[in-house]
Amino acid sequence: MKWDDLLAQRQWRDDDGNLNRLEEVDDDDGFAVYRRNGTSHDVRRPRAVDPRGFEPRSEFAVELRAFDAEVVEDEAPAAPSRARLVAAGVAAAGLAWLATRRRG
Amino acid sequence: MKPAPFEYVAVDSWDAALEALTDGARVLAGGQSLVPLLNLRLVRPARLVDVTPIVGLIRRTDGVLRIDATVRQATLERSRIVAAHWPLLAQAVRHVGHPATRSRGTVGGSVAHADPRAELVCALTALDARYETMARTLVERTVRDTVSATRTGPPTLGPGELLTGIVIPPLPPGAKTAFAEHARTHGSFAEAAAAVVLAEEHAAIAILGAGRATAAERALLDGASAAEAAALAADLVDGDHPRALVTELTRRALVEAGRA
Repeated sequence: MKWDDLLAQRQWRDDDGNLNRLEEVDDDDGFAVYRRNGTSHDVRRPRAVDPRGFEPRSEFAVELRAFDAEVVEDEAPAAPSRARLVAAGVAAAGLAWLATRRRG
Repeated sequence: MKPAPFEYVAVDSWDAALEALTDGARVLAGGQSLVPLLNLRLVRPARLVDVTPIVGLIRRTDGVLRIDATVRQATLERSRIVAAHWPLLAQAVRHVGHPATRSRGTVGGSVAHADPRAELVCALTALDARYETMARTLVERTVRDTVSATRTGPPTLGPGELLTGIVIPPLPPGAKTAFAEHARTHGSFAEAAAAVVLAEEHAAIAILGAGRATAAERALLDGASAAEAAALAADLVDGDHPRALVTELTRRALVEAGRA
């Protein structure tokens, strides 16, 4: 059951012949209740959130800045590259040293 | 006894109901009050226009509650919106008849019947409800404010006029509500009842069959105790026994709503 389908008709019969009747709709909180066979069923309106327009409330601003700081750290992979360069240099020097000893 | 002969017309829209509401016709909206009157032949309509096929809905939009006139009392009783935001209605509707009558009776039928002992009318009066009506002559809806009109309850419907919905404004922030009633037996007509809404700088007291107790409301805002305000509310009724009942029920309701 989709939200728009639910609001489009207040009363309908399903495939099993059961009468479904919409009882209440809360536009503010985004839920509706319909009745079938003596029991109530909830339908919740889907939340359409556009992340481009997302603006955090003030109480979450601190957490968001902390997250930015982590992202900045991830964007600086210089240390591992330098380590690999130094290791390659040490290995080359070692091979050169072994070669000179064999010749001698 | 059996009712006098009448023509029965069932409609599924308010426009059709208005069209079918000819002279001598009565609206059947659940029938929990009208049918006994028919059986006793106290009313003899030429035609009964049954509006219960019109599916009623409880809806909250921008903080305002709208109850279609054909919403069943049982639906109001189990409504999550009402329980969360207008608990006074849920508190009052439990006193209306029995579960069997509430499953057939409608909110609009109770209001339109205008029985002064109707619990829902008392609660709606305390909630500053407005009533949407549809007139046969104008074929347009109008909104009436009961508080500015009579302060005793809903408007009296004229010939060819239909009650289509009830609109209730949001309660003040932090409001507490209570409903206290006395009936000789559970489910029978109440002898007295009081509906109370209390919040910061807001007080509403409705007495069953007598309307808003404005003097008691003003006293509460000026700092009166529950007992003092209840004594003022009792001035709305006559007779020692009704006065004693209203005084005690109003005091209990005020205490339940948080006033010492």
